[in-house]
Amino acid sequence: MIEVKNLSKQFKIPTEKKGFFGQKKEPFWAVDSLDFTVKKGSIVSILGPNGCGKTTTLRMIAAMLSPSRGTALIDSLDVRKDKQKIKSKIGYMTNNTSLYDRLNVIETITFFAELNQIPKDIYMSRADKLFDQLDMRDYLLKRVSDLSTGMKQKTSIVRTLIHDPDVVILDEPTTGVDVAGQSVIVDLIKSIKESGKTLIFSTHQLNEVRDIADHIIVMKAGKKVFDGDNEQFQNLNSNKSFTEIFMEMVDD
Amino acid sequence: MTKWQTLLIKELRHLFRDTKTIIQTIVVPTFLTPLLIGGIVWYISSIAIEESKKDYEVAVYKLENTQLSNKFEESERLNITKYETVQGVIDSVKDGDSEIGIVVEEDFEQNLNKNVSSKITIYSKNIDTFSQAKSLAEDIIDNFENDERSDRLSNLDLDEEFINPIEILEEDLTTEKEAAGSIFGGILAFFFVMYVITGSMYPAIDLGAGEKERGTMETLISTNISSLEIIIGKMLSVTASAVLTATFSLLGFIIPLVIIFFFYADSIPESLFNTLSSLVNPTAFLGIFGLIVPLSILMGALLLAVSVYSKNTKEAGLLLGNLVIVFFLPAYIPLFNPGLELDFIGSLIPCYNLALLTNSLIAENTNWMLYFSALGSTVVYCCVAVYITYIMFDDEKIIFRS
Repeated sequence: MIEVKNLSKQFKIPTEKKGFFGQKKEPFWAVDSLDFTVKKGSIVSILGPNGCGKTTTLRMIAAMLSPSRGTALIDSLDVRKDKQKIKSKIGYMTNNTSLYDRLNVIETITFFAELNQIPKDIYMSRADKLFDQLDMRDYLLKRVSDLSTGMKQKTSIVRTLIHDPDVVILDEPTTGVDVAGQSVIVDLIKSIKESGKTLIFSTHQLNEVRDIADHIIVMKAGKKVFDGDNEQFQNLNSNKSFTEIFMEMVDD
Repeated sequence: MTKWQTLLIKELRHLFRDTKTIIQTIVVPTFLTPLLIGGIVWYISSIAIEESKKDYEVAVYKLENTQLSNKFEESERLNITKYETVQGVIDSVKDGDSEIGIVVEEDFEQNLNKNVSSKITIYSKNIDTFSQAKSLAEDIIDNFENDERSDRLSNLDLDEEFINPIEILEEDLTTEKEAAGSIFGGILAFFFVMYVITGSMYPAIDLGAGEKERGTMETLISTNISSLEIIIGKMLSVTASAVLTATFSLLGFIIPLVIIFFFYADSIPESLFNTLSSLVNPTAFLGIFGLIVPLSILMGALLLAVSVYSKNTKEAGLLLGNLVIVFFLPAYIPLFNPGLELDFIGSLIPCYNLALLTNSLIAENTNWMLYFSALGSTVVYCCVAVYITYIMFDDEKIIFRS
């Protein structure tokens, strides 16, 4: 279970005022007093316009950024204190493919598996299943730089799952992927759910959310504006579409 | 395998699959630099040879009808042109019509006859360092002066020893090894420093700012590898590249030497051959490498820290370009001051200590206390640099600075 309690993050952002060393900076709450709970094995989608704090929230849950206030507990482990333990329980995929261009697919997967200290026989068997599931067999010896965006995204997914994490966090997993690729990723998300893992993902593709999310959190300007299950979200206004409900929620 | 070892292997694989790394680490130091140095030496020698065969125009005033004028006219390489005024001589040199100008004072001959000093002014442009015109003229004047002095002494029935109460005899006790250290030590050290810097600069940019730019740094820190393990893996990759570059630069010097020994040994002067032989000194090179390795780690850590701080590769290139000057300057100083000797304070200055210790290691007159002082201080700087890099990697404001 994931418990997010009063989670907040403050950054200093440049203002228009100029000081001696360039632009003056002032504090800005990118995420402000966020509270929610994620049940084990559920799929949670975090929605919101650009700059609303989705990525910052995901990074704090993944113990990559320290909260300025509040905390998040991953199976009772505190993101402020148990960073390394949390990171070994989490598979985090960034919002771009972010892979090493000069390694091939196999080398990439091997690197991340060995970084997580997984024995070779175990990670190879896991990788084999994922390669088949994602139809990647013909590309294993190709360098990442030679792969299409979709294939890079698939490689990124395999490396995220190779250490069999309890919690999977995907930051905009379908960005830049064609329709066929999006479908593969959606199927994979469903199969992750079937395996009992908890999955949190952010996206701008509202159709994906409508189809696969159990739990929806909508953010606006760093604050939570909706927290409930998929049905509750759609029942907010039965006369309006999923997208219209969302737009009404985040419109100024 | 530990996590930092896994990271190190991945970083090296990733780095050395890049053609830029191969060119920087292997091709340039092994082949291009010896070719470049050889080319420059050949070009300078050819200019010097050309100058040694060249005739020079000399503008003169009031030189005619003197005993000295005959000596100048006998010279095969100086073409004399007479001018009516001193200003004419000066203008001729200024305008480049003459290489040098010689002005003899009005009463030149009379003064000589009266056994007093006569004045000669030589006008030249000293920036033309290859020109032999001035030295040819000075040789003629010196010979004339010696003859004149001998005549005056014999007229007084005095021996030359009368005006030379002390005769200084000079014996150069410099050994071939010391000569080799003095000639090549500074250059070698300068090249080592240069290659350690160039060998670590590109990997540092690629593994720091480059990873931030490509987003792979975020992927890496999302895994359960600690900041310390990341910097160990990355820093050793940068260091390995720097040491490899330094090794290949050493090969770049050894290969031409081997070629000279095997194929041109008979055609070079014995003294030069012996000086070059002194360079082949395994103890010296082990000693130099003992200093280069911690220096490479120091540079690797510092360059990586600056690279990680940078928002992107462009900013990293700019900042590192300024940082490397700090390392280059101390290595430059001994190159242009061959007489410098290392003291305790100097042994604490990175690169400067390497340059002077390279001299003494080749010359086999190393003060080992200063060697270990240099080694120890570099190791301490390394630890500080690694700590700074660790702080950088552990600071989310820096890692996510963009």
